[in-house]
Amino acid sequence: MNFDFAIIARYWPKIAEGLVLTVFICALALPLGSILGLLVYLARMSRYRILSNTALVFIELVRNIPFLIQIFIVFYVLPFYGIRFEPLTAGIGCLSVYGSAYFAEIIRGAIQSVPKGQSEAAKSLGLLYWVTLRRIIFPQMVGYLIPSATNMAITLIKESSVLAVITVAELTYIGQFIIGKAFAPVEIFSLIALIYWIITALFSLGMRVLEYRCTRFARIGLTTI
Amino acid sequence: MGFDLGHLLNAIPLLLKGALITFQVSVIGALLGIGVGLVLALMRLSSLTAINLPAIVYISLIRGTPLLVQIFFVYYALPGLLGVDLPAFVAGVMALSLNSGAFVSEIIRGGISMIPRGQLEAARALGLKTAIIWCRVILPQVFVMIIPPLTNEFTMLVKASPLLSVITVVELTRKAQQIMILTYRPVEVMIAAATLYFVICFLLSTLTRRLEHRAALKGGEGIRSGG
Repeated sequence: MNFDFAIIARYWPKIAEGLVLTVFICALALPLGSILGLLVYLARMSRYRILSNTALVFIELVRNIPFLIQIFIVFYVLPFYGIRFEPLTAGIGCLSVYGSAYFAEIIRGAIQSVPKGQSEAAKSLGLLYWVTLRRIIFPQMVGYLIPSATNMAITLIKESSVLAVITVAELTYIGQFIIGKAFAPVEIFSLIALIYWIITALFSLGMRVLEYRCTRFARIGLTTI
Repeated sequence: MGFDLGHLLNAIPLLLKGALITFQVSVIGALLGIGVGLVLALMRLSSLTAINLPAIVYISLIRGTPLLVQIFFVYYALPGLLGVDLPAFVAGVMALSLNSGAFVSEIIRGGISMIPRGQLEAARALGLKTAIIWCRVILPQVFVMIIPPLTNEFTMLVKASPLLSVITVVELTRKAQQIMILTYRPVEVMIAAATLYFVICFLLSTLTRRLEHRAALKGGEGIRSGG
């Protein structure tokens, strides 16, 4: 078995296109998913039963139905009711919605990880709600939030490959396309796996730097501030 | 376009057949995955770089690449490399267990790190052989501890199994697609498939939560499962 680099050289422009689209999809779906997740979390914590129950049902539905089935529902079932999306739009939308349910739970977990006494103490000191959130709660939850959110984001980056099934021409789809033209599965899929590996590694490295900067207070010592 | 109950009732027996394959694939994948995970976890414990480095690279590679790409690799590339023909079902189960193994190994490693060092020292002081210490003292305790995260991992496998439809394994999702193509009524079939998946996964995740809760009550810190 020898590795044929000529195939990779020949199809490199196509692969680069797929890579750009994968990055584009993630660059849209990750922020969108986080914002939606925050909204779902707020609804989940709402005083109004309708809102909180809807959010709860939404979270359980999204987390317990496979992503591929969710895509199929949007792509095959919704058009029957006159709702049609381009594959790319449907894909980015599905990925964001899928992520939002998990992000909502991650935010909830992060906020619960800060002891209740902290916000009570801040309140008794007369700090405003916004200041309490920004200066007391957020710095303490960030050490929990960033690692879990990073894990979820990496899951989403990997899950974006599933969009290949609805003909979104991202990296995995391009891989299949090239296999269809020139049968070189070992070379192509090794390369594509490697590209994903580099993307996820770079992403988690970036997030680790962010976490390091956000939790600086814990290292310089909270008491000295 | 309405919702036709007749179509739904016709589809259900076929979908249940598909669900049986989904169940088989997930169970076999999970059992083999535990085997792979155990080997990887023990390799990582080794102090020899030649043994622990391959395990570290494998785990990182599996966790950093999409399952779909891994499935394609096993189905399209592996037969050429190994020189054997892999039927879709076998390739699918292999891909699932190779993937799951990387995650299980991290769970097992977490479990092993929870065993107090004193256990190992006490067993050594009693003159037990290394193999006996692992098989009779450490691993049985580890396995009891990691039951909740393993249940969670099994739920993940069930949720990942629809991807096998892409390499023509006729499990629940593929079955639903086949029915959809025959009848051209995606609404009933897809909703039914989604409901089936939801029931299975919801029961499993409720079970996981129960087990985690019980473990937390029993003895201090359990191992939290991700996702």
